[in-house]
Amino acid sequence: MSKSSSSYRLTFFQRNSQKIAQAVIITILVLITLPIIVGYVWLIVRSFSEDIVHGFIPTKLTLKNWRFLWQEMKGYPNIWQTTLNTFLLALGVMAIEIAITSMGGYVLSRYDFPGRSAMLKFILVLHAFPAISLMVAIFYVLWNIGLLDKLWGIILLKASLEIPWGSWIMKGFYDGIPWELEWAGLVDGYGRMKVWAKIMLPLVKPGMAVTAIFAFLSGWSEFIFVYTFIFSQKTWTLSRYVMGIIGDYRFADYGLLAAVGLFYVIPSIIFFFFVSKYMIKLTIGGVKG
Amino acid sequence: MPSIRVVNFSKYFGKVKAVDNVSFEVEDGEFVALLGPSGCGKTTTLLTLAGIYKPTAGEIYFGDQLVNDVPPKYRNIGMVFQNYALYPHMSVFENIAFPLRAKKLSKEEITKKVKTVAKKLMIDQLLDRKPMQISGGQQQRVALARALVKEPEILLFDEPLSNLDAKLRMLMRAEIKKLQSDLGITSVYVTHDQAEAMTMASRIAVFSMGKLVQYGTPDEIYDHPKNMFVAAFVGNPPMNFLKDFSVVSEGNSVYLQRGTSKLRLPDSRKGSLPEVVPEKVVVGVRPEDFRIERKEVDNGIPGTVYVLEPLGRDVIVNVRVENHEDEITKIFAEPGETFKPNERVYIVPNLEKVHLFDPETEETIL
Amino acid sequence: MMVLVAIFFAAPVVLTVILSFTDMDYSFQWNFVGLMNFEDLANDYLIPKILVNTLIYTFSTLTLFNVGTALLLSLLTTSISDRLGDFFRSLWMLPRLTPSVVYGLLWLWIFDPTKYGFINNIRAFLGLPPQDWLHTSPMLMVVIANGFIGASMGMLVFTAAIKAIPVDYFRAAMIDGASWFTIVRRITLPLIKWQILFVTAYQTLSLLTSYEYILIITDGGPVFRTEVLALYTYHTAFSNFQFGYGATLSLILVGLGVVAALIYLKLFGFEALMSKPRIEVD
Repeated sequence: MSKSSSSYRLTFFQRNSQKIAQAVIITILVLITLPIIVGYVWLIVRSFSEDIVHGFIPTKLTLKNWRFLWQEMKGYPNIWQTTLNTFLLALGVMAIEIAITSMGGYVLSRYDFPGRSAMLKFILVLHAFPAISLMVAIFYVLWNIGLLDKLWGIILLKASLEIPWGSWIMKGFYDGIPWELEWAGLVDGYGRMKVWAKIMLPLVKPGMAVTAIFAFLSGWSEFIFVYTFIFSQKTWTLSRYVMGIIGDYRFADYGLLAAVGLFYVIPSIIFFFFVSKYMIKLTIGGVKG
Repeated sequence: MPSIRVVNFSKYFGKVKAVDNVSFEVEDGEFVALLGPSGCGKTTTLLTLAGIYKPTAGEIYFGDQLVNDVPPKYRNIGMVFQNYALYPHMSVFENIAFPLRAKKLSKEEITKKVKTVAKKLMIDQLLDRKPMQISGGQQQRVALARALVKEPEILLFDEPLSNLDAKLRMLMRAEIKKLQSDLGITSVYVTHDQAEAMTMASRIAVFSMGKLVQYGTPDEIYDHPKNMFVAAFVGNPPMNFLKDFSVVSEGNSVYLQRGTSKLRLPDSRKGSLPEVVPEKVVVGVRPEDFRIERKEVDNGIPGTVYVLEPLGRDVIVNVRVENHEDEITKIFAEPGETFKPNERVYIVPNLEKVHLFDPETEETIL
Repeated sequence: MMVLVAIFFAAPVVLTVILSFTDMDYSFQWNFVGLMNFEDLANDYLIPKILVNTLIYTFSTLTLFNVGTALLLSLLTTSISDRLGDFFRSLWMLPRLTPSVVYGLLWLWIFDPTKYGFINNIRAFLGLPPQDWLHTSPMLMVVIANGFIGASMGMLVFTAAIKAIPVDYFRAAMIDGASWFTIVRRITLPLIKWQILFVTAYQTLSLLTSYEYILIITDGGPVFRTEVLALYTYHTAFSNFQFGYGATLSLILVGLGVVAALIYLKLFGFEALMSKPRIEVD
């Protein structure tokens, strides 16, 4: 090898190549993310504006768009009754899902029973296979057991469709607990149920919180089932209400649309801050590496 | 080949000071080891030399040129990683050729260079295999080949031997050393294994908690450690520390005294003592600098044999010091000598070679 | 758990099959009509158009967004600092957590045919007349709206996969002088090819059977131009109340689902997930 000392004198672009690359990457990211940002900013700005010009600039601030909160819209049920229904739906789905998946996840993670691996595969398939294509039959089932047009029908349906996947998520949290902890509990003289209740359950609290939030949000946002299986206005939830408003006021009153939409999306945004951290760290397992 | 000069270099990750005001120099063609426990900042320093990290403060020079802002690809360095970082989806040939392809060399040239370097490292028969299909030692050679093929001016090693078994590690140790001295490439080698640093490097930089504690030749580090950390980290078994000795002068002589034990410091050494000595000092003695006697002798410290650790050629005798039950000294016994557990003995330090440390600052006094 | 799954999943699958041999309507009368529904299916003049729509919709959303944009997002967000990367990824998760009607509303506004719509507003700024997107390019609207939701799943999977690649591979490549594009093409993409295949398989199935956002945004219109198979099934059953024929159409979806599910089980095995429990106490 020759004894030459190379020169590290570089052009501006070479020296700053990493900084330039970063700037380019961030610019591209901002550009492709723009529709999302624009949409949500509009929703907020528009709901408080008389009218807007040039995309985002309000001509005059107003609360008129929020009138649906204190006066009933003609042909629509009371907004607070509808909001209460939405809450009941979300909480119901959440309660059932937590109760069952905290147990189901443990069983999937820690018990060896015949057909375990078949069941795990079945759950994955189930998740990929939207039950939405079974709507016709579900309609008949709900009618048959008298839960058509009932909030309970939607709660049970929604919970049962999500329990398999919820159990899978909980399984992931249980999988993360070292076997030694459970072995120690058994050696220390506890039965398996006691070990579950006293050792495992406290350790998967974060998992239960995540599952609870997702269950709540999915109940809160549910559209298709409510739209299809609920007819009486007193049983409406917000998704049905907003859908109706979109249909009736779309070209007439964007301010109202934005306000109703923003009202509906607030809990989602609040919870979003809690779960987005978890979601972006979530790894969907089961992939050959 | 350029020299490397690191001047007042610091690297913070948020509030964590990974490296704190470190300066050292690596001469043209020299082999320097960065030694220290995990988390001491040695790997951060290496990655900064590579250009992967940028200094928070300070300067890095290659030759006389500041390279702080120079991206890795323009630094002309070769690097060997701890897990080798061989791309699993490429064949051995493709792995070695990767740096040449980035330089856009012609096909013939790439093939020629890859074959030459593969031959030198005795992996030319493995070129079609995938990294997963060859042994750890072979993967190591491929990683070396990939670092060397671009004819770098600086070689960086990040604990390259820590994943090999003990036997292979000894073999590769010698081989890397030979290769480096043949090629004369300026090299920096990160390791937590003091034996590796001692055997391979011409100079060692000992790191602790983000700071460079001592920089010197292996002999300097071993014989004149700058503080108790270096003294304990380098050498196996580590240096023995006997606490709570006082330095007393009686007439012309200087003694190290603790209870009934009284050690006379040779005249040749007492002159090196500083004027002010702390009230209590720690006496440091290497395992090979003790002698074990069965009868009471001058400079002897009484104790009982605690346990024996035969190593085949040598025996390490563990002696529990009387009245200081927490001090278990490890001593290489003279060949042929045999001891039994619980035997009463006197351990005699070679006072020409003892070290004295300040227990507060842990700095070396003598 | 098993009871609920039985009532709302197993029973409906069986029922769907049985119902497809009846002409049940809103009166819930069981009236078996043999293969009539299947003959109707063969003679349904809308079916070819709907199948073409379904293919266009699935294929474009999949390639442009659910895999394409997802890949772009994961590659870009892993090339910048974790904090910024997390920020952009979070933004892309927002649509998924937004109630579908509100999300639909945002796109209805962006594509509004009057000057109030976002795109037409920009066009007005450039001196162009407003355009009626619903009539000029309804399929594009549907694909984009779905894509901005669909991209997030692939983004998460690919990001996790990229982060699982030992960082030393990238360092080694940087030292060896590879550019960002070379690293992506020669190292990142080959190392996440299984994940790409997985997301492709998974999203194909879910796109084939999804219709919620189409229902909200165009409701299949104008004149069936965005009517896909799943939506047609829904309309048949719940707008025209032909439950029997609706069930027959559902069967196609169920069949597609089963085939796709089998393919990806075969491809991905999932053996790693099936590791045996290490306690044999009950």
